[in-house]
Amino acid sequence: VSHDMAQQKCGAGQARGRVRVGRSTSHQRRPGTLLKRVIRLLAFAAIIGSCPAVVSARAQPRDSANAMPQMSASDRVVIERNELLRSIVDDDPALVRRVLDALGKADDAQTRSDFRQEAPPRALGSVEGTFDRSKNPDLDRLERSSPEAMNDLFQLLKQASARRQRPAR
Amino acid sequence: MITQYSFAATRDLESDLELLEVLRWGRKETAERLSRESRAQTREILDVLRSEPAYEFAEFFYLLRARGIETGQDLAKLAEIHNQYIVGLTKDAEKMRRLGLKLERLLEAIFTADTLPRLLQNWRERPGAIDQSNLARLLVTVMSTETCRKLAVSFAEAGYLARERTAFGAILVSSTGIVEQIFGSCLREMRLRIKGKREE
Repeated sequence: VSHDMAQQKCGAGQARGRVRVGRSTSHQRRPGTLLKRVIRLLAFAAIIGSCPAVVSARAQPRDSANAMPQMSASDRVVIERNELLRSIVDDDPALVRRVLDALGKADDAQTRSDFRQEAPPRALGSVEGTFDRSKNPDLDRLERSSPEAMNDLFQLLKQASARRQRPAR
Repeated sequence: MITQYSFAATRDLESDLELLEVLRWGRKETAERLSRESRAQTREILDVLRSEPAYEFAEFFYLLRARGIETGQDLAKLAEIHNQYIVGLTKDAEKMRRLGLKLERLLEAIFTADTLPRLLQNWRERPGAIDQSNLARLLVTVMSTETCRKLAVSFAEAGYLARERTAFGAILVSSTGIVEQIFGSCLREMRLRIKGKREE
């Protein structure tokens, strides 16, 4: 989308310094919780249209999934910024890698709907409980667009108008 | 109860369709002109400029200009009305749900004793200049802070916004005036098209 975005989004293959992700605490996590988080991520990936890629990551042999994928410094920033990614990265870095790649592809092929809210937050919410947008800014990328909110904004600016308004005919 | 709408082949139906056609054309044309006049012609920027939030972003800047919100006093009034609106929203759980907003986010969007002086100071020192985070506050019900940031970046690359970092680390944005011209000219053409069709 922009230079700023490019710096923040998936950095696979980029020349910036790479760091390894990994805090080996997977054995401390409850499997049920982990599964729910994976489902959330899969739901997210499905919504942004990259589900096959992510699902195939899950379908890979465990050895392959456990092979630590390369994460750039900018990937690390995105992971740290998003609670959902943060919570899963130690258990399944390959899945997180796929989601980051999917985000990158979504940027590459950005369409109007990519920028809109619609499905993702609600769909994620329906997978399990509530999806906290404020804690997952990069996953909340499909923006909402509300005619009601736009109408409210129009009316606010009308009220604040410094110009005398002619009565509506 | 839904008002009965007649699909009989009357002048009314024809006029309705003409209005719809002009509205459709207007949205398309605004997106096309935002893309055409953009200084940056990369696919990524053009895709953002054609997006729905970009139209809303452009509309906001057009309205600021068209409504004559120019002085610090005008902006203070807008901030006050905005705060009242946000407080009202926090008391309307159903509307918050409809708009996909959480209480925490709304509270962050209120101009406080900390943020309001900076909003006004920036505007007074450089009319039209607004801190990007304050811009996101004003647009809180329409788009997320992140989308607001993405739009500001893309609009800056397109030449529609000036965007610079202050000594305090804040990012100030101000319109170059082009986007208001594009939005306004499309709006006027839409109105004239409707008028012209009516007079045909």
